[in-house]
Amino acid sequence: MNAFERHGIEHLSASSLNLWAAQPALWIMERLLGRRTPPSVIAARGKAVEHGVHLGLSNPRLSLDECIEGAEREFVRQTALSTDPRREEERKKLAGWVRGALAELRQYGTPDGYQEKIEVRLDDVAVPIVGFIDWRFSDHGLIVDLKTTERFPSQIGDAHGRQGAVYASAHGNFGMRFAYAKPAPGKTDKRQVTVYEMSGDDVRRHLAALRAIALSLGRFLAISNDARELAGLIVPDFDSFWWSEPAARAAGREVFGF
Amino acid sequence: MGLNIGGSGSIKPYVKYNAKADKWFVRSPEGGDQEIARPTFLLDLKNIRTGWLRFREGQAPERVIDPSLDRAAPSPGEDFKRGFVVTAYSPKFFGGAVEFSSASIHLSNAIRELYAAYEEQSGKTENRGKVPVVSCTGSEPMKDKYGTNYRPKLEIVKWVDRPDDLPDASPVDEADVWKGAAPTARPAQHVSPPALKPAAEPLAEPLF
Repeated sequence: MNAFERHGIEHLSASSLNLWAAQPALWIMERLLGRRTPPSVIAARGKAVEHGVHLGLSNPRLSLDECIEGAEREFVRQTALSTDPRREEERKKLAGWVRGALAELRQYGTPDGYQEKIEVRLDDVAVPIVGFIDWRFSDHGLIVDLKTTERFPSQIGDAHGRQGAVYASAHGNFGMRFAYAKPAPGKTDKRQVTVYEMSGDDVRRHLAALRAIALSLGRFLAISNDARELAGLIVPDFDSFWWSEPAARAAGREVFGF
Repeated sequence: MGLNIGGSGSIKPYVKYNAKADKWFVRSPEGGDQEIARPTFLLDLKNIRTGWLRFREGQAPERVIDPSLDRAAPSPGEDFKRGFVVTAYSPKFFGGAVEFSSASIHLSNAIRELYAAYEEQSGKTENRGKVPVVSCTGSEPMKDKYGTNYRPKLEIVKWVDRPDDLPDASPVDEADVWKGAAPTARPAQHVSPPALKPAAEPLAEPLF
């Protein structure tokens, strides 16, 4: 039995490995001790916008208003128990994100895959890496992932790149694109969506990084079969934005003792 | 050429030399190591790669391969040692093409000297495009602070045409090659949506 299996981990994901790389203490708390916190309103808005956009992509005749309504319903469902003061502010901006993203992505046609599970193996990593793609456009040989943002990034960041590398490697020679959508056009830059595509080198580089991160995690897990003991080896940085959710900090204090 | 992405998760067949015991092993069909006699084999020195290797008990081997033979990658960290990765071939001893890698100082020195001989001989007209056949003819005990280890005696005994099942290819995955410092960040460029395929015209459809 390998170190992952000894801790009940049957698979990994790009987001899990990104979390381990960025904030190991939070990874231990959520993934090893099972103290998961509810999704933030920022995560919820991403899922809600994606849902609304998917309604419009899968049914080209659906009106924009119906897509926005779908996104809002999903957001309300996702944040039903949230007390985050940003909830209403984010809800008001959903329409802008859906409008902008649909205007861009309807030009790609109708996707033939949505939220499909993919799985890849990395050399020497004992468990598979799994993920769920946003959309597959087989006619164009493209996988497209939507990200909601307030500002366009200058390039695909490492965390997204690793996610995209997993999706791309599960789809042979498909191109991997990230569509970054803002809630409204800028004052000078009138674009509301910008789309970046990963190169083959990007994919290889990020897969190599994922493998290195997964091996690091495996070595850490091999230290002990006791998750509590492992938690005692790591110190959280509560100032990091990863701990911005009050519920996460509260759970963190219980787990790490300060 | 296949796409160099993804991972197989499979274990490559290998041959290894235990410098402590002066013994050669291959991977047995059941997994595990199977001892073999001193082998004679083709060694694809044309494609040998060097780099930093770390072997730890009960853990997957780790490696950071140099970008080229004349440019070493920086040390990735504690316990990594300089070593090599090369493809060896022998249907008789290894069952075909296998990976041969090591970070043993004594074996690496033997391979370094073998490579020097290879470079000297490969330029000869009669050896061009051919692969050296290497024979392990014995070993030499080497005493150091770790006790007695062995350095195999490796000699190029002849040159032969490259067999079809010994590919002229790198023995390492591109993902293991050190890529250097992160490239200078340049703003990415927006890519436009792909051109939509026109809807099929009914009259252009074949009639059945």
